[in-house]
Amino acid sequence: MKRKTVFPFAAIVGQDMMKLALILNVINPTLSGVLIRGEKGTGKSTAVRALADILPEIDVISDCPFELSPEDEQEAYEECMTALTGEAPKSGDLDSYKRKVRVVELPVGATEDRVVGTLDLEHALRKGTKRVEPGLLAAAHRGILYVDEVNLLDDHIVDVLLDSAAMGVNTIEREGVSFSHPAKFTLVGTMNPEEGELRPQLLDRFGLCVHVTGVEDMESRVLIMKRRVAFDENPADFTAQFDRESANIAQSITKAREVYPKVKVPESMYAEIAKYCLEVGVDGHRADIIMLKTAKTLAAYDAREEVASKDIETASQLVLPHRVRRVPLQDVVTDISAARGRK
Amino acid sequence: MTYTYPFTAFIGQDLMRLGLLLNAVNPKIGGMLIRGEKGTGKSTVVRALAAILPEIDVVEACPFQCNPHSTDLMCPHCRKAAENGPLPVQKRQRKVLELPINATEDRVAGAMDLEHALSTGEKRFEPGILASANRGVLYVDEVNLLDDHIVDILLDSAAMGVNTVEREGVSFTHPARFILVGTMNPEEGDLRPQLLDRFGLSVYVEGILDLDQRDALLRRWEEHESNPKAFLNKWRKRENALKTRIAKARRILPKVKADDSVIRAITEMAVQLGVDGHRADLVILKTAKTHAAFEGRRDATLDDVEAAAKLAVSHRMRRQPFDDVPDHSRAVEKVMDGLRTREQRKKKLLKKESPTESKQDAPLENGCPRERGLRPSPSGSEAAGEVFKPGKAGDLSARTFRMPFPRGKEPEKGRFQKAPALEKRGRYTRISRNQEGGDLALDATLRAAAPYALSRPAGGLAIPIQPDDWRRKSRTHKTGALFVFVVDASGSMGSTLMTQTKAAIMHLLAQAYKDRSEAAMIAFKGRKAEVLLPPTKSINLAERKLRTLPTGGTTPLCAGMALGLKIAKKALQRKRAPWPRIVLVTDGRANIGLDKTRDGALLPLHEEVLAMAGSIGRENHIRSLVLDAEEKHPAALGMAREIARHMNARRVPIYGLQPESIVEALWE
Repeated sequence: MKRKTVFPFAAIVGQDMMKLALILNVINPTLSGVLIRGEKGTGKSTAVRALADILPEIDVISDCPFELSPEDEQEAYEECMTALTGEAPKSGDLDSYKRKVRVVELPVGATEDRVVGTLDLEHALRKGTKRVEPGLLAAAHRGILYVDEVNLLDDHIVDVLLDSAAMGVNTIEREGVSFSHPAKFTLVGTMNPEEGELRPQLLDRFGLCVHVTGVEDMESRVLIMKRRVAFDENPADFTAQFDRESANIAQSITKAREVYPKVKVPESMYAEIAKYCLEVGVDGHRADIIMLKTAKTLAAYDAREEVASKDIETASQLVLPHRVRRVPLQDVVTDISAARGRK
Repeated sequence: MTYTYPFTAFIGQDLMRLGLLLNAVNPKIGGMLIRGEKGTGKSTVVRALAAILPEIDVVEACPFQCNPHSTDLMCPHCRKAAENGPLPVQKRQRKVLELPINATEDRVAGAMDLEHALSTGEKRFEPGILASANRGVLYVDEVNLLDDHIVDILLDSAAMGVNTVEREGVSFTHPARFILVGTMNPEEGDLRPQLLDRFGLSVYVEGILDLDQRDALLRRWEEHESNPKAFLNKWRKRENALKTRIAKARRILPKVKADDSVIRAITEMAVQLGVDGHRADLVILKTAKTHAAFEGRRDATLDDVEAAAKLAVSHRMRRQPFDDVPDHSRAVEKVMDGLRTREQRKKKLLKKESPTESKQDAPLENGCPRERGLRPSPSGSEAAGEVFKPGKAGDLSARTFRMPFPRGKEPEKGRFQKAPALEKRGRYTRISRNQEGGDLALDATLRAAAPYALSRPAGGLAIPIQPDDWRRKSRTHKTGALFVFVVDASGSMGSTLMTQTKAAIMHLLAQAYKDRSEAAMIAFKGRKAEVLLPPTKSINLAERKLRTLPTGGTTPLCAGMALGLKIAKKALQRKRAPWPRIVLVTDGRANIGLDKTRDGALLPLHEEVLAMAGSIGRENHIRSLVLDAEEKHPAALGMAREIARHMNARRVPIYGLQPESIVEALWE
């Protein structure tokens, strides 16, 4: 089957904050996800798919349902496969293959057993032994887990998602199965606040949050239409136009991943972040920590090895809006600088 | 390899850390509940605890980590083996075990071993999480969100120190003594009071507001993130020192004495602070002694009592409603001040009178067993099979509908309700033997069939399953109530009532994330009723839709009631809200009817209204409330009262009611 062409990431008009938030999370998955709030039809899922498409390919161990890496996760592979098949896998060099980063979509109606994994029915009936049937969290390892309408998802499923996203591990203790496997993924959730708010605890667990609205500038709107039509008419040609730009983005992402561990934080920045968070008024300390990480990731994306003031400013736009303490009846804050000024 | 953040490297949250340490020294304190804001390092600190717990002796290869030195606390296997001579001993790190939020009953308590049953036809017990947690720490994140049924199992074991499994034909008892540590964010709903009391200690944590400390916290965290290994090495010395200190405190603990004055101080404290029950006194005493041991002393002092009281009373003080966190630390300090002054005065007197000090042993040396009477009935699982006898598919749902919660009894705080789910949604927590309804619980079905695998004709399968073995999943999922407000928008009183109702709706929806309730609003005026707000949880939507409240004209009460009933019924059919309620806001004076006829003649208006009220009243699954807008007046007609009677509804006069009180009335 021919691979479906995906609308190129570079061709998406506007929505810069959303694109930035997605890129930052791909560079550093420990930012624990992006929550995209906003209207329908603002290119949320297009952007996610497009980003996955341009990312560098990853090495995956063949015949392993847990999408493990042949370099870093040999140990986990042995454990998982032993638990899965009942015997240790052959040692020695593992077969692996390269593939694109996967976007796993979580449907709103998903049941918990499909998400975390469950007892393998067929195997149990035929062989009479218990075996795990990996769920969506296993499939999403090292990829992107995309949850449309996360606010409509059953609470307990969201709990499980966020738990795994935070720990990087999925633990199954259900239906006679006791098992855990690595599950490090970039969590992207979308929601339309008109359909109900997310619980505060869950809101806080999403590292970054962006608000998207339809583009209001006439010219940009025209451009969006033109590009979409051009893409629909001839996807291959259209995509080719953006190949270079896409390659550039992919390259900066790869570069940023290398730079990130080297990024230094100047002494004064810690206090600046702490002060920022205190001034806007947030619960707990998660905001401080995520803001620091985001600022570091921003610096890395900019190929700098030191965090600058502007990184903190940008990070605050992504990290704080959904964490500002609200009085009842108040909406989630959209403009963080204004919130800071008010206090 | 992941490197957990070291316990000693935490900044602030001293009380929380002290509480955990004291529990590590003396597991009999009874665990700890950590309540507080999100993102205050609650989970991180509990996970860090594992590294500083002292090692213990266990029976080698025993899945229950049995203590080789005490036959009372052994599993049946070890006890039997112990009769034939000493058991092989192994040193083992005490574990911090996390209870995943998606755990099902069979994995928590343990269940029948499927594979063993298949190969031998014998029923054998397969240990669950409670077995692995024996003599360790069992950590439950978001304990307030855990399914009640699982919570009961935990409490049962925590209280008795044993886990008894009586299900699926397996009968087994094993030791399950663990330190139960729960964390929760009270924003998401509170814990049941009886559960609250079961935690020995409790702290409330807040974010640090001091800039310097916050700054230091961030630096330390960054240091850990950039090189966790080096960070750990840097802190290793302190970690080891703390570990040694805990081990030492454990040795001293049995020798710690509490004299009379200490015990009197404790009882006085409990009385002055208005603490419920006697468990608090015992916990304070135990904790004070443990604190003394942790400080390396053999005599408990008033300082120990103070530290212990700060940890033990916060969740036991009788609280005012809405008073979320009483500043109990200050209250404790105040009581202590009083006690200390008195103590000093007494000492002075004693010195004058008699030089010999009479020292008494504590009457309660080892902490007494917990009250067994409070224990929730064991093994709810079997009860499920009893209550819901195989029958018509409707049985289960009908039960829930009729009794959302007993009348006259206030629902628990938190207010969302856990209903046996109507659809195949929700969390799978337990198994029922119902033959219909619910989807197949494969694991349980297999376990039911497994023992007969060898004796039944297989037909090519490893496990021949017969209809008799079928087990169904019983799921619970949280649903809120739907409130359909039907409001009189006519000229006479419309605007006040509409504004009042809107305020109440906004107030209700402001907490909707907590109790998952939805609201809808219907206004009736002129000739018809109109849906101003379709059922929603969204406060934004409500704000927008109710920005303008149209009023004026005549009063088509009947049309309003009819539309309200329609919406409630629709919600019921779509199973979107199992408990729709109609809230009628009116003075009961209709002047426009639906023009219904009987025997060719137009039905009198009031009869029409009462007939409609009656048909709402006959709906078993819909409850209603009338907010009476009729002013107190000698000539009052009392129509609303009459309507309420026909609707089988409670009636509350609306005048002067604040939005909060209206919402309160809704829940009653």
